[in-house]
Amino acid sequence: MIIREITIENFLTLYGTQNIKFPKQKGASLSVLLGPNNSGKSSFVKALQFLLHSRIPGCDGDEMLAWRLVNNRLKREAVAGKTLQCRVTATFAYGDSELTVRRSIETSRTGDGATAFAPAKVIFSHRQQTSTSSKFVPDETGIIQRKVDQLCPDTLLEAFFFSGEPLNGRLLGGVKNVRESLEEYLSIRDWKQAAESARTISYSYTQEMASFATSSRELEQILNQEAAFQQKVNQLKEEMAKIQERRDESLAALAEKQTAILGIASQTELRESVVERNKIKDEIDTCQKKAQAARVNICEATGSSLGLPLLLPYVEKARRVLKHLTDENILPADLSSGFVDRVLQQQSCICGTKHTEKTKSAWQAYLKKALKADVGTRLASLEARLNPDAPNCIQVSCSEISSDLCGFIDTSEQCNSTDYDLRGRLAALDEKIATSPTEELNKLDKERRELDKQCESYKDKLRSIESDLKANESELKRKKAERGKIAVPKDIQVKIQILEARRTMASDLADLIDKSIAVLRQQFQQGLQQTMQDLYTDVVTDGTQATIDLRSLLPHVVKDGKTETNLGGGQSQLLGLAYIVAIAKLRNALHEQMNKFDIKLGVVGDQSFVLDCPFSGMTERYASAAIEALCRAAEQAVFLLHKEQWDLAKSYLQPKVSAAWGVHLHAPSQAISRGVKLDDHVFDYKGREVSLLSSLPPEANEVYSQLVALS
Amino acid sequence: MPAVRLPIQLEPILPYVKKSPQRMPNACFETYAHLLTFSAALGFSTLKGEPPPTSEQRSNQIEPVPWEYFNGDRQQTAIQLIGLVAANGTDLVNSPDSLCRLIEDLAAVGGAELQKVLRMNGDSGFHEGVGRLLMTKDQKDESVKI
Repeated sequence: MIIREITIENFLTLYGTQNIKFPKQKGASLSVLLGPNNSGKSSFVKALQFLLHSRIPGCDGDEMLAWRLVNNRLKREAVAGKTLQCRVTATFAYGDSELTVRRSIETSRTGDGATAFAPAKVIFSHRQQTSTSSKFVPDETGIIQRKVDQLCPDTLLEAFFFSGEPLNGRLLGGVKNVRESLEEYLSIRDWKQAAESARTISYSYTQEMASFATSSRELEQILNQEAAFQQKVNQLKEEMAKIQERRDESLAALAEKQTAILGIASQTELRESVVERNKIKDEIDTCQKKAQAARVNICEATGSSLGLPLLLPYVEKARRVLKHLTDENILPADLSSGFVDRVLQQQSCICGTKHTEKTKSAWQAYLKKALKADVGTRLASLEARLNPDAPNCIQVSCSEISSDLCGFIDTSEQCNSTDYDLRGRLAALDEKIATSPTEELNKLDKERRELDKQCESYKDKLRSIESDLKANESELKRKKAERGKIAVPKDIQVKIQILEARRTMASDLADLIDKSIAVLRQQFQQGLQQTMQDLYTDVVTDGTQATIDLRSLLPHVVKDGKTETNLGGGQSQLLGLAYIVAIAKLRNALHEQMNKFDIKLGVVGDQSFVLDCPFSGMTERYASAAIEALCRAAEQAVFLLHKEQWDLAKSYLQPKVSAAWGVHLHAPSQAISRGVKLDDHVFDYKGREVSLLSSLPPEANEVYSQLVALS
Repeated sequence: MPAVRLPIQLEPILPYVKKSPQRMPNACFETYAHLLTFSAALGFSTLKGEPPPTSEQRSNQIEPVPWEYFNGDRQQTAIQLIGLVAANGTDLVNSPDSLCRLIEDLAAVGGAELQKVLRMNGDSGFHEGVGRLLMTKDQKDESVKI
């Protein structure tokens, strides 16, 4: 959605009718709107937000109070009974189409007081073109508003048209709305419900199978157990998904708090402490992950050893016993009493010698010592394992187990000791920050700690659910295998087979849906990742890379394989800008794709971005990178800049600018002389000095602005 | 069919079996049969190959484990080795019933040892305590640092 033209009439500080026509051009169109501080640049962003989604700032969402948005000068000039109107009209282009919409506020003065205005009426309309004329028609059916919602969803409004940072700086932390917007697009909730239904159906088939199996108690028992395990597995999967979601939300909120804390701490001497604390927290996380891996390895090595290393001292004795058995021809032997009986029934022995009493009793004595067939095989295999030259000999296995355990326990001990040290340092820093004199910082820090605890508890819960799930899944598998061994009557077997086939289908469907969701997420992630590569990683020179998290689809900055938690203002803003551009490109591509499949979701086209003072806290290096990124990827970007930011970005931005306007501030002379720096109103644009301030007579009470073309 | 009953001494260790309903996060033993085999090996090592005292106190928390559940390669290596050495011949290995009783009695001794490990290391350190039992002498750091 590209802005072709916008007309703002008597909206906030903008007095009279202000019209801007944006140039049509191929490739990136960069425009600037220069203006002194408090001149009304932000009114431009607010006008767009009001137009598209009826955002009424400062009115607590009460439409009747929307008269407050009418320009103060107009309100002051109005006599009682006079109707006042302010409105924003804009034409947007998307694909090959155009849409002109208008939102207006109507009120009237009811008396002399500053608040004496009738409840406002907000009307949304669109331009209807006939062959001879055009007129604005109210959007009574809501169709046009739905079209606007599709072109620029409410959840993404402040991502595309914003003051300061996209989404009020929540982009790197709690951009729940971006994720929700994407998930809504993917219908993730519906798909999850479908998968759950498929699992419920699969479970009901197991129950039905159990009801058929009443004639076989053993089978019924196994099927009931199977059903119980399946239900448990389903419950655990559901619970895991919910906790993962909650954990992601808490993590995002935590990141948001950390960014806010860093922001406040930057203004105090505590910045170093906050940065250090975040670093320690990361180190603790890494340490815990290592300790967890070591714990799993120790458990695995210990349990699977079955205590063999404890038996090493007895290997020699066991070998001696086995050798004795071999010497006595008992090993390897596979003799049964039947075989001995057959030998003795013959007149002569197998070697041809005739049987005597002596040989007969020798055979009987041998039979007493002889091993049962399975024992013979087992001892033969034990003998092989006790042979020190064999590759899988017990000594080698035990040595491997011991050496592995030694390494794992060492790692675990190191992790515990490091974790203890780190927690000590963390506690000291926590105390330092908690006792800081900044009240806001204290409050934020308290909230951060609560969130931190919440995240830890979610992580623990997830770990425990994961291991429960694994155990239940393996039990389920075992029960299924056990069932296969039970003999059942033919008719029941047939019924069970049919039900089992249906159950498998239902269960496969559930798995397929889960996989599809994962694939969709992956596609989204790859699409976003590619754009982030172009717009962030390829333009920054600080060695950092932008990555997109597969689960949350949120951006992170990574350096040397580690996620950076202490982003500088420039880094985070550039990352944010790159991300919103990536989101816009992805939306456009997805809509195009859907249209190709004949799923008519409509066209959203390229996205326009309006950035009010986007370079706060940015160095020249990052500002130039941000301009470069927008130039590469955005079809239209409008920068609203005050003098300081224009001076910072001018050398990069000016050569690329295709149109420029100034927000001309009109203020009474006494207001100007009250400590206002006159220099802030004079802009250097393409080599000429432009003053954007006019002095009004002292009797004029109102400050207002108007737009003037600079190019 | 012969089966091995769980000695009462192993009851506190049951949460360290992965299939136990009250399983701990650091559960080490895959099945009850694995726990019994491990305990028997530990009991045998504790008694230095001497015959175990006969104990009749069995737990009713789990059903006796059928002999066929002790079929794994490593399980059989441990059990056959114990049986051969304990009887100094084939008497025990040739009789599954006798071998089951031996495993039960040895597991009772091993269970008592595992309880000690649990007391010394606590719930969360149990796996490390058991792991240390398995490290061969040359791998345990017994050096004295001055």
